[in-house]
Amino acid sequence: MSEPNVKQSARPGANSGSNAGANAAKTGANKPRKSYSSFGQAWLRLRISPLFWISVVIIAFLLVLAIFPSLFTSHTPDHCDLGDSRAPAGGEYLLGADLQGCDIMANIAYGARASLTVGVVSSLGATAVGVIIGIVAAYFGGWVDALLSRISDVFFAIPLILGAIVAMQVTEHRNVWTLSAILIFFGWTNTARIARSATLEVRTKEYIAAARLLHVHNGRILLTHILPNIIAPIIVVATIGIGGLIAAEASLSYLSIGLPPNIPSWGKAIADGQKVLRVNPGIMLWPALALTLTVLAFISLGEAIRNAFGSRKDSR
Amino acid sequence: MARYILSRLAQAVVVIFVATLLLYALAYAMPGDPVAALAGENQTLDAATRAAIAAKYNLDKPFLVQYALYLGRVFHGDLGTTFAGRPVTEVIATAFPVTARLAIIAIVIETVIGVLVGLVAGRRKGSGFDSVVMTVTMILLGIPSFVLAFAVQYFFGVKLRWMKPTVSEFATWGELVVPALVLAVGSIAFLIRFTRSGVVDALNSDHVKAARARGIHEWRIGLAHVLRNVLIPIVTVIGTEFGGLLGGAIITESVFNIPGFGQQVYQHIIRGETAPTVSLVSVLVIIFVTVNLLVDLLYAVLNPKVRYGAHE
Repeated sequence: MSEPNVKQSARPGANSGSNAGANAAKTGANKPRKSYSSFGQAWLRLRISPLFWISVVIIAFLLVLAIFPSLFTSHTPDHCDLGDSRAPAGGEYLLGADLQGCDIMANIAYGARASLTVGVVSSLGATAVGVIIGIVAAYFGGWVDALLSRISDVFFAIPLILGAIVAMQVTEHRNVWTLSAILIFFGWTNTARIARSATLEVRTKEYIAAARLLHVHNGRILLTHILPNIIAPIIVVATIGIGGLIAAEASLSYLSIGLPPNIPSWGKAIADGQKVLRVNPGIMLWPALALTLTVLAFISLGEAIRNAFGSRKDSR
Repeated sequence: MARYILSRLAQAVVVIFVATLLLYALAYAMPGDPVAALAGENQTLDAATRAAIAAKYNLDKPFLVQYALYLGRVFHGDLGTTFAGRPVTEVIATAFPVTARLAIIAIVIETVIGVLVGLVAGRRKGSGFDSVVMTVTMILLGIPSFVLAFAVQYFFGVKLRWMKPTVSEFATWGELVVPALVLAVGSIAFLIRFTRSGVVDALNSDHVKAARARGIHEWRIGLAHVLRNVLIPIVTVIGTEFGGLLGGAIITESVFNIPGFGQQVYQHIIRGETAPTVSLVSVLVIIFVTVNLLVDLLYAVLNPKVRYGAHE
């Protein structure tokens, strides 16, 4: 039982010497002192978290892969030679060739671009929409809250994958941007709920009342007083959301209604590998590994950030 | 309480109405020519036949009229027919029990594992067991469900031959246990973490400290003061996670070849069959909203704050 020491508030970084593991950072996350910037505190904890650095290294590698795919393979994903179908790993093809004789490494390297773009764009978009709706609903309350909450209920009633499947069928031009837009359209409710409940908590604070008394413009209160105070959980959800939405893109592409055939995608590569899973598991293994590692990297980054900010409930 | 039930019921009806309208509006905008798709790729239809088919499926009417007709039929228990001539209600009747079995097994698994592991981890926060649980759940949350499905299928189905790689057409309870476990993995991890933080909060709360100070036995504190407070919100989480199960079922059912609801949805969307697609997805949405309505009512029964109107 390590509960009773919550009260003991350490100076930032004071416990850095004894921090051995990811969870040590969490258990060592004592009550943040209000006199320090919470972001500064979070960074002090973050930079000693191994989980943070592992995920940062993986994500940095993925970014290089996405921006300069030609560094990792001399082939392009559309250069396929049926004669090389299911060629073994090593030799001309680093990871072998798939059923169509395309370089698996090229598919992974070029697929990283689509995955990361969809993940980052749709998570940022969904976060922006969710935060705006959540803050506005909670801050103004009354009928605005009632209306926005009901709209949010409607979207919550449509599970992301189901809604995206129906909407992708509508889309004539399937590409990373339309897919991202659809994922944003169906994916903002979670953030809206978190932003709303965090704003409800902040809204009653004295400094908000003071700002109102001083006739500070509502928009300014929302931006400079409310947003910075609810941003920590939002950053965590947005980071984890990148991973979740990359997985959603891969799932849709796997079901063949995500990205079109001319855009390399891990989900599609996995679907192709499925056909020869019994004889050539490697064709599916590599894209599946790339996808899992990517999703995991963003989820663990979000976890590391959450630990660094310290759970709000724990710190009370 | 009666007022709460009524308002919650009205809310659910409105949500169902608007959500199905939204889906119907989306599907109505679907590209492609369903009449041509019905005729097959190499067939050309004369204008009269086209018109007759369009009229039969109401494809010639304006959108809102189509939606009104559709709603009217739904309330008469008629969800239309697929282009192959099979009534959608019949499709639902055969596919629904399969997915219901899958979902029930998944919910039982996630609840039992999620709550038990979460309770122990929360009770021993900071212990080695807790660290392992936190790491494992993070990894489980990070593995896309279809990757996990393939991994399980390959290792246990193809390599080790502990199970058949795909499910038979009967989709019996026993066959569905492994797919349900795969489907539930994300929810299991989430429930473990939710239960754990609930236990940590409860153990930190003043009433538990007061109980300790009064010298009440640890077991009694655990059961009466911690468990009760932790279990109530879990009911809600199981309800919200149910939506993820319905979406995930499409993928799990396609990997393990389970003849359930998700596979039907997918098949119809691929073939561009607007009406059955919307009907099937709408039914899923209605099920999801209904489950959450029941969950909220159960929550109100369990939680005196809501029961006596203190909530909001």
